[in-house]
Amino acid sequence: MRIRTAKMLAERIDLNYFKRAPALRRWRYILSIAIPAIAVLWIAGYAAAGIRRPYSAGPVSSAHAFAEMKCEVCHTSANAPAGFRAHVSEKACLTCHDAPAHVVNQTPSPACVNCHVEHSGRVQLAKVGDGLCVDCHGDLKTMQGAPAISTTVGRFGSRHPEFAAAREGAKDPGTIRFNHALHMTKDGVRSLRGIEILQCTDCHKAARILPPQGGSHELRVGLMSAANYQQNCARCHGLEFDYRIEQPAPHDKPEAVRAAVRTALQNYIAAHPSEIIKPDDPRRLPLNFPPAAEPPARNATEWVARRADNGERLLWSRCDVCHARTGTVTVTVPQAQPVADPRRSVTVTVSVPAFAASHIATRWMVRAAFDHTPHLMLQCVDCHAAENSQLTSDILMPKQATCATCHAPSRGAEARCFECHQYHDWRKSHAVSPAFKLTDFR
Amino acid sequence: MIIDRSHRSWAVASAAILIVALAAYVPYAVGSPRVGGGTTLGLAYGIVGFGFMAFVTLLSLRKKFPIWRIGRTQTWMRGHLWLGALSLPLILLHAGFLFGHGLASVLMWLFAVVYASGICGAWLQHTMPRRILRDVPMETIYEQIGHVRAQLVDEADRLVADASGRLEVAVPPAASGATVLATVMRVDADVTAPLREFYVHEMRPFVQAPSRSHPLANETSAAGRFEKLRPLLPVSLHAAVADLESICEEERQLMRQARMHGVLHAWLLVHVPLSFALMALAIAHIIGALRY
Repeated sequence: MRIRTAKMLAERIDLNYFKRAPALRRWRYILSIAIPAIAVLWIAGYAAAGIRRPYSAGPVSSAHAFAEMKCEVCHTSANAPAGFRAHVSEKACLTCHDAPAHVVNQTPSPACVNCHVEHSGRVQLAKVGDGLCVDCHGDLKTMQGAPAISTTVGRFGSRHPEFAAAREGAKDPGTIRFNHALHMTKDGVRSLRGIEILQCTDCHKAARILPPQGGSHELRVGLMSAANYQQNCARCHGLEFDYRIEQPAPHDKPEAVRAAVRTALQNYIAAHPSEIIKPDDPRRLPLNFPPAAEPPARNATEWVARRADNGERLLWSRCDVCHARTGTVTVTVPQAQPVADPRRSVTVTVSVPAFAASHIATRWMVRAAFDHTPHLMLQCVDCHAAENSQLTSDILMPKQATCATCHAPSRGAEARCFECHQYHDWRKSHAVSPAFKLTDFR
Repeated sequence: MIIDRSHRSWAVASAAILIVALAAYVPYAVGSPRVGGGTTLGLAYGIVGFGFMAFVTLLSLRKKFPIWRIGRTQTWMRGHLWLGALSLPLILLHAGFLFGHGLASVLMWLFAVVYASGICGAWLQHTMPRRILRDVPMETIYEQIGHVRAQLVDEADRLVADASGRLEVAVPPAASGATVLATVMRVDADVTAPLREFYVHEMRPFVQAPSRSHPLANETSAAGRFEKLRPLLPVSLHAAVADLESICEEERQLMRQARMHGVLHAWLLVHVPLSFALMALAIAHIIGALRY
């Protein structure tokens, strides 16, 4: 049995033990000096070499990637109020970019960097978050006057107001009588080429441009062009007024139409004087224009006057199909002269029908940008309920909910403000003078 | 340090700070177009987080000067634990839960390693002392292990010499730091030969320079060795054999203590140096952030 006396136990203690550092503690001291020293040398080495990369908060945007290694292009002390600080100032941005103000009566505008956050990777800086937009538009204040737009706008799909064009009670200001349902019937419509089943794209075309570098692919961009008589209607709704005249009347103001009809007839009879005494071919007159039981014309002027009256009556009735007649208007026109003496010029006052201005809307959402190109995979009627529209006053623009089917954070399609709205008023932009040389980026 | 009920006030205060920080972060993250260290709230998180980091780093200084009247070391240690635990969430809120780029990224990874090693250390310090108390009843001061080991060799030498007589045999010097022992032994009786044989060739090398692969390093294996030895010796030597067995057990405990001490303190080799490096780079980060 081991006997451990107090003396033996006391002898177990080496009284100088604390003077010797054990290996673990020794290594701790060594590493506690070495590792921080390495860290400091690492950062000091970069500083000595003038490399600021360690301080970069991340890759800059694609547009600024050329200056990624040249921090001083944007971070310049000269642009900052104090010497030490090199925060990016407005001046640094405006050296290269012209950024027109949002609107003249806006409350103080945010700094560039508040919206365009750099060092977030190869992103597009124009794609800003909704927060700053909603900050102001959520409770909109202006420097002077009342805002012309909604003052409580939130994120799209939540507190965004319904599109003005699609709000309850909104009406198409157009006066052209057009029945979409009639034209879009599945049985087709009668045309000069027989029965035609019309597609939306037969009348509504996207504006087209070619890519700047002249590629073979045609770019389809932007909004649909407004309906146009010559391109979309004339094929079926012709303005022929006399079987002898091949050229239809122009789709123009009534006085211009009147003048064109008379000029065409004058030119015709000048070229065919033998037809002055020849009666009209009754088989080729419109059914509601029976041949008059009257003696043959005595001269070209009378011949022209008789056919012009008939032609105009026919044309005015065709105008009535689409245009709303508001009455008559008196206009002064050159008097029809004998063909033999065209140099005489006498004016005469005549009465022609007056029609309401068509007011075809070329752009429905004037505060938003829309591009049909990425939406071409959808059927037009999915967004524009035209199949059952019979009245001109029907507005066929989609509601916000239609867009939100895809454009919602949970759906994947972009739903941030910039998708449709722009902050800067680019109409007021100016050219920027060059401020750098190529050598600045070497 | 054992984390017990005495930490309750620190735990509650830390939880409250964390909840307030998170509660402020949610509307900020949802409503603000920009989340990160450059924003006002992000900067506030960074300042508080760095303050906590600086405080926990000062624990080393506090330990260097234990007589300074700047609060009890125990309080500092609790602060080190809880404010250190809070610092990472605050820095993550400061960074918008991103590891960033360049120096910021290095800082975050360093912080992650320091934090993980700190948690590991806290767990070890919470559990290991109790294990040492249980598994090493003959615990001594860690720095004394070499000294005690030399004494064990000396004691064993004397036991064997007393049991088997004196014989002059050259003995290699003991390990560095221990008292050099020059024991001589003489064999004068064949009955003690097995004891001498066992001691000189098996036990003494183990006690002098213990190795985990040695048969005596294992309790069961060692018991077997001593059980085989006893029948070879007269009963009068059994008491000496029991003492030698006790010395082997003490040696095993010293081995265990050294191993557990290594586990208990090795994490500091990571935690402390990287903490200093972290603070040095954090200062560089602050300077860079103020400038750019």
